[in-house]
Amino acid sequence: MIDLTDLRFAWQKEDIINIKTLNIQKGQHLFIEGPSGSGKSTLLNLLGGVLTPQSGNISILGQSLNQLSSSQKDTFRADHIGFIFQQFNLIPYLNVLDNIILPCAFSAPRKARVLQRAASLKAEALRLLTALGLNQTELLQRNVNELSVGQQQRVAVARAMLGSPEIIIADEPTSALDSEHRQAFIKILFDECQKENITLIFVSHDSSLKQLFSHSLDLRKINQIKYKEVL
Amino acid sequence: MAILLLAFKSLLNRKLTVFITLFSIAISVTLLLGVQTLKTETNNSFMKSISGTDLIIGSRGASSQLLLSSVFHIGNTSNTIQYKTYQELAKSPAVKWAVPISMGDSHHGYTVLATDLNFFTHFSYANKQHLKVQSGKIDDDMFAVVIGAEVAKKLHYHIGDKVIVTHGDGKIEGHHHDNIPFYVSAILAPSFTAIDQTLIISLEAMEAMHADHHGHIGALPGEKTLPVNNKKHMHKIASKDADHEYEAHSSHEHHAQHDDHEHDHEAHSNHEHHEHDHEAHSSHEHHEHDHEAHSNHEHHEHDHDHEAHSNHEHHEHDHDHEAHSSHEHHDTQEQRIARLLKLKPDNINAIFVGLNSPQAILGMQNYVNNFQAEPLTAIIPAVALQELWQFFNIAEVALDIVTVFVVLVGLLGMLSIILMSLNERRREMAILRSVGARPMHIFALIIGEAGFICFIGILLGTLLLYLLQYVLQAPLASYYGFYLEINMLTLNDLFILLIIQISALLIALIPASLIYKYSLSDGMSIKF
Repeated sequence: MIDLTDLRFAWQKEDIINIKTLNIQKGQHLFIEGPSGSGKSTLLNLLGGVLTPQSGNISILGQSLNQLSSSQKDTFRADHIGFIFQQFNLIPYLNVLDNIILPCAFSAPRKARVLQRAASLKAEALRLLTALGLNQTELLQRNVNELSVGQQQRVAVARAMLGSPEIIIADEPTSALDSEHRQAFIKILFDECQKENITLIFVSHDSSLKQLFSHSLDLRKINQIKYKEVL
Repeated sequence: MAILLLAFKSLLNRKLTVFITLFSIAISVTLLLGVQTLKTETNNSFMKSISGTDLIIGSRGASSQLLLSSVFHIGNTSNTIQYKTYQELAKSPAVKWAVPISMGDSHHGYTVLATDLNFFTHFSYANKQHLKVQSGKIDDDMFAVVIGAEVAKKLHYHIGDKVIVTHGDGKIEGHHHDNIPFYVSAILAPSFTAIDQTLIISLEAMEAMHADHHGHIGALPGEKTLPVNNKKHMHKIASKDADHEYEAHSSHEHHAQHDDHEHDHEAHSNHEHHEHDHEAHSSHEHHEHDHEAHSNHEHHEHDHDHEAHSNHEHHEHDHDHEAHSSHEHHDTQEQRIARLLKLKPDNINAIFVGLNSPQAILGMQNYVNNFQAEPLTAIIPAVALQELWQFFNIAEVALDIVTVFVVLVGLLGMLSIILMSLNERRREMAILRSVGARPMHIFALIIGEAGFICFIGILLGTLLLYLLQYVLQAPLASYYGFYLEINMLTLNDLFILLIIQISALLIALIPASLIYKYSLSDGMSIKF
């Protein structure tokens, strides 16, 4: 469902991405190992349609991103992909509920999907939080800065999963968590993606997490750019 | 819409900095609108200084000078015209009414205006409003003085109080016309014109003060002048004034008393000379007649006093009683003589003229400007006021420029606060991008924030303006004689506010386009 072919991207005349081919199946939980400087965040921006490759094609859910205008790509991303970042994933001036339902402000289809399965955005947000182990109703109105890092990351997962996008891309979501929380967090993420049949792309430099995934690949191997160690 | 809500919530999150920016914009808006209001209001009150008078006639000279001296009582009063010119012009068929005015004396810095009773029937200001009496009544008495509201208030004068007029504008120690004391017969209601700071007396009284009678006209045959008595009388008034706790006034009285004594003495020693002079002035028969009138008048005065005692109960009882016992309204020797002569002045400063029809204004103006017997100037008050106001134009423009810069500073403050927040907000922008926000949304977020700050700043500033006007209205009127009318915002004001709002949005283009560029290059990568 995600196909990359002959993908090349350069930034200021320096090649960053050169991937011959990459296929990701629907429902797959894929671990991409990539240390910093391996072109990891560039690849995620290409997948999200924020960056446009110089050549090659990205096809997601059968839609070639090359055929979309940049604003259509923004809409496509909002409709089909949920993102989770390393930390400080949340908008500081919005409360927990507003953070979770934020994608609905930019994607009508996602909002419609939420309202198909739940009475309101709030009910669905609460359901997701409960599923993620945060089952306090009062949490919804809390300021996100009052939450622990672990709680913040779970709120970020809830936001990514709201309205069941087909794909979730997680960029180092556990690096701010200690190892105990890390395992629990990944388990919850897996369970929820399984339930909703969501394709999960999990990017991290931490190769110890590789064993938890059914599929994994090393970005340094598929990206045919001479890897430079950047510290 | 969602973006505007986001912008609003983002602002709420930064309450302190936003509040400071908001406040600086609000204050600048208040200042700008305040200056506009003040400009309109000063212009209004300026234009309201006189109305219903078709022409003001004075000696040949600059129209602004004539306007300033006759309406605002500012500046030169040495340019005069002959009284007989007034009499001649008043007879002109086009003229409905003509009121002579004469100035040059003062009382504690307030202008003394000499005119006749027609002044009160014909002079009007603002929307053809006539002067209203607040207390007392306008007596047809030569030595009655009608005082403006502010004069009464600042000098604590009441009906019946004695007033002594000083020659000149009072800045230099002038001659006190203390041989001709006046009594306050009426206090005018505030008109918020120069009249509030004016004492109005009769032309004859002014002439009596100025014509140098002492040494030329003495006691009439058979009339007794008793300087000792007179001194006692003056003393009583002085002590009465001390009761009023007006020290300056009472010391002034002591001075007056001394002066009076001197004059009396002089009058006494030059007795022979007086007699001679007087005979030269009037025939014997005429004198007899006058004398009768004089005694009648005295009688009347006496009656009046009695009446005052019985009828005017609203006066403090004490006051009235004292006035009665000290014979307050009893004339001095000079006053008695002046009443006999009832001399009109030879010269006056200006004439207020009302015409039978407005169509006659230009013709009459032309006639006056080409008057044969004496060089004259006739001005149309409304036109002259407008011309004079043009002088203030430069000050107005300067004020406008200053306020525009103040608003600009307020907006620049907003710009710097938004710019400073940009770097720390690149993460926020990346998150927004990840959930599907377009760069245009990010752009709109910043513009929306600036728009909100400015809009609320404008609302707050306008509110502050009305609050200030409401609070300042009473003190302005009572301490500065400036009546501030609270009006709705004018179309001009709204236009200014619109320009401020648009400027805010334009200024926000700078940070908005910066963040637009950031969000294009950063994408979803969180760089900070």
